[in-house]
Amino acid sequence: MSVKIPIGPIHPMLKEPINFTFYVEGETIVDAEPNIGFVHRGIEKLTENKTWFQNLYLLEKVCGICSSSHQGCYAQGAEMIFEANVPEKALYIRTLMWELERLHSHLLWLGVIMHEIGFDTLFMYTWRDREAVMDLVEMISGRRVGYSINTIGGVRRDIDYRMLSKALDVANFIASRAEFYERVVLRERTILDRTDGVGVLSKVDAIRLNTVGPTARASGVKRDIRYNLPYAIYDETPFDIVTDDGCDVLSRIIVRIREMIVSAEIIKWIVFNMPKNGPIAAKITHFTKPPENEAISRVEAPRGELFYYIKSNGSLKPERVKIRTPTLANIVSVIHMVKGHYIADIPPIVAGIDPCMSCMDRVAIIDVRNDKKSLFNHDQLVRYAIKWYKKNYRWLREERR
Amino acid sequence: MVEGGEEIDMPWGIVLKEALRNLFKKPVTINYPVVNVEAPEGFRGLLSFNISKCLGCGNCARVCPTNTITMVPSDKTRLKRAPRFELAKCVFCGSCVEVCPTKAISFTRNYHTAVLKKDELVINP
Repeated sequence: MSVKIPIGPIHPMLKEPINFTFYVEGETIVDAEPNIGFVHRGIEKLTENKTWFQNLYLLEKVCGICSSSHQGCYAQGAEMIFEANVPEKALYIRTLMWELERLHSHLLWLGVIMHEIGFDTLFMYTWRDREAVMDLVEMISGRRVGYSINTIGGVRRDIDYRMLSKALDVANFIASRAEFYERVVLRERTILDRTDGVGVLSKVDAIRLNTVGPTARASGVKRDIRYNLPYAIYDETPFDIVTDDGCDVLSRIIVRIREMIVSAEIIKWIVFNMPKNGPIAAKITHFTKPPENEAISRVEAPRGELFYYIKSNGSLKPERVKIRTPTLANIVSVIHMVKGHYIADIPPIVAGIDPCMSCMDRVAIIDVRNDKKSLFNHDQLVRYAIKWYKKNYRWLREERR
Repeated sequence: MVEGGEEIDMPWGIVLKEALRNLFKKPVTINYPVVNVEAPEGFRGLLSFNISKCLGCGNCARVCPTNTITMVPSDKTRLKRAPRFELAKCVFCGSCVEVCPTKAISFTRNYHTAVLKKDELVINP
């Protein structure tokens, strides 16, 4: 059977712009095909033309939400190459930013998935609460998005008492809100109908497909770089990996909500244990040449494991920077998640892996019985899904029990 | 699957209480073009340049990751050249502010970067 791949307008901010083709029999999906690579920005090649320090500000543009993870991961790798001794206080500030980023990323995602299933009230609440984190991040770094707090050898800005006390307030606030959201998600019939038992990825599949981050942890796989291969100060930080055995979209929501509580606890721990004085960066300048070296750097970004390979040839510019983002590792699992589910379940399933795109571009539905093809854009699909669920929720509820 | 049966079935939902409470609160959004939020201290807004402090060393142009800064000839500095800023290219990273030996470049707290003509965002020495 010939497959026509529609190329929709693709969001230019994404590292992995994705276009799906779903094969359906009636309402049931029998197969799916993700097509990636439509908008190749050439960031990896561009890193070879910029100096080590200029790349810091290029690489944080790989992703707008996890910008600090990307920049921190690169800085961490570059520090291995420069053989720099990073001051302890810098590591604390860096980790604080990573955890704040995880908080606001998970809140954003929670809003997005609620929007996908048509629960816009919660979308408004999560995004409102997210502003508390964004304000704190702006106060610490000077920007809401693209904090540029990391540099090779440490961080660029010191943190003061005022910021730390606000961080404590924010952590307490978000933890209390996360508990509220957990209560809502587990008790609200609308959410349970749309997410419970939807998008099942078994533990075996999760391991076999090398899923990372909350997607793996929601299938019961204990996979977290912060825990498995501790970096920065995570080997001292007390925290537990959050896992859930539900394997469906609901568990992905629960895992992320519980991770927000864990992140809030880590932030509180950092605030109380932050070294009071001391340098915040090693002495590496824009014009320092590194030795010939290569390094691998891994960071647990909000979406999962982020991987950087960096190679130096002793000049002011890196010879090679390779990036593996978590969405690339997770996108294959979507094929296994959607099989056997309904067209109306596509938005929560695809959004469930937290792909690095808030909108799904376009989806082509190909009916395998008569080879009919119809194009949906994202809004139409969400509207279709809500309408379909309104009509069919009674028997679906029985079926899923 | 979630256990619970009838207990979960709440026809009005748990969010309703929160929604009702929020009805009587002030909106969190602000009327942006009319009301402006003041950016916090240390905000990285539009760059400002003080040519009387500039030496013309060109460090800013060398570290800029986006080629926002180019060195052009000028009589006003000691080394007979001065930076020209095309702020439309600026990513507000602050490298130039960091490396400037005389603190001639600094951040303002102005975040209103929308202009009608690109030339309005150019600082000529």
